[in-house]
Amino acid sequence: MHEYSLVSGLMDALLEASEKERLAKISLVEMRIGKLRSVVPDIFRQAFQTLSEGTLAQGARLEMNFVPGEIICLDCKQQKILDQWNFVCSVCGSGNTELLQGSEILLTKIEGESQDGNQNDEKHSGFQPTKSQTG
Amino acid sequence: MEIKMMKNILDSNQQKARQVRKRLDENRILMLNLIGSPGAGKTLLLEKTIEALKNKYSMGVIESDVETDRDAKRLQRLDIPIVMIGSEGACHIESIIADKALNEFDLPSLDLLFVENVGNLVCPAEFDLGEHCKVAVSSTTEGEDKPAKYPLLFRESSICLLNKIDLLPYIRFDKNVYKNDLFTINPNIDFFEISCEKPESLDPWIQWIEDKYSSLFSSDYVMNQEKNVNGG
Repeated sequence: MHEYSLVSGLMDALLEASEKERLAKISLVEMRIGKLRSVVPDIFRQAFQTLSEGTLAQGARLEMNFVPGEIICLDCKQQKILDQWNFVCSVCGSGNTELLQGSEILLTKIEGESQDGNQNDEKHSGFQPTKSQTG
Repeated sequence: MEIKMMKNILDSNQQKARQVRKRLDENRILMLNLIGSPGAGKTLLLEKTIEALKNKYSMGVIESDVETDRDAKRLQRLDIPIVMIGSEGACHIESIIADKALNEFDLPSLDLLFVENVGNLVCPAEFDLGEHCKVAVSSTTEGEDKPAKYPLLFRESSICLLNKIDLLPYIRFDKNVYKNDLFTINPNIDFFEISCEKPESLDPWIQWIEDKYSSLFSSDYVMNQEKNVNGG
């Protein structure tokens, strides 16, 4: 049930962005979710439907893009896409590896109507990734 | 209108976790977050750990359970400060709860703070409370496949304790499978086999805690030793 906690954080981010960008309504929410997170898509979607009710994100389409884990060996510099939770370098056998991606849970795009009625602008928000988001 | 961004939705939990960590570091407190299944032996492990360290360190416990305060009551006989968090049905604790719990302790007087998280191998692994280390507590009676089935916990933990090792002669448990999976998921994790029925088996775990504390707060280690001996 931690999807509800995650979506609660998503709602905070959506409301913060809406205030900053002066949105009246959100029609699309796009996420990038690392596969190493234990996120069940159906539960996440259900949680979003529940927690967005009564907010400007009610009825918004939720797109979730799941990305695989990827590690780099700090000894031989080989990079590997993870299909399982195998953090041992497949080239040199070292356990000295670092996660490059796969544990992030990011809001990557919002589409909506601005309070000023302009639907055609594209903007890059000032939100920056925080240090720990990519694992 | 389209707005592109890279916003971490766990940001607010992580910001609060950083605040918790700052409070801990300012007060030279090592916080360990014990995570494991219901019945893995977390509470008894805490009892034995606190008994072993009582003369050296000033300790506190944050206890969390979905229902009852039975675990907190078991620890009360140890005469240490315990803050009970009723999780009110939640399956994990978050950093905002940990931050509030810290307010209930006399932080300057503490050296070690243990969190006994809700019995759950899934959700607690996702949330940083501000602890210095997550401790994965698993037991032989759960089967050898727990690291493979719940890899995030074992990936996020600094140390894994395999408990109830005294029961190995009586149950089916393939230790090679367990260890192979564990070290594939987290090659650098520290690992000890323990039994709370055999106090000497806890010695490496106790030493690990002491080493962790002194590596973080070494300049104050001697001062705290003197403080505890003098009852101050």
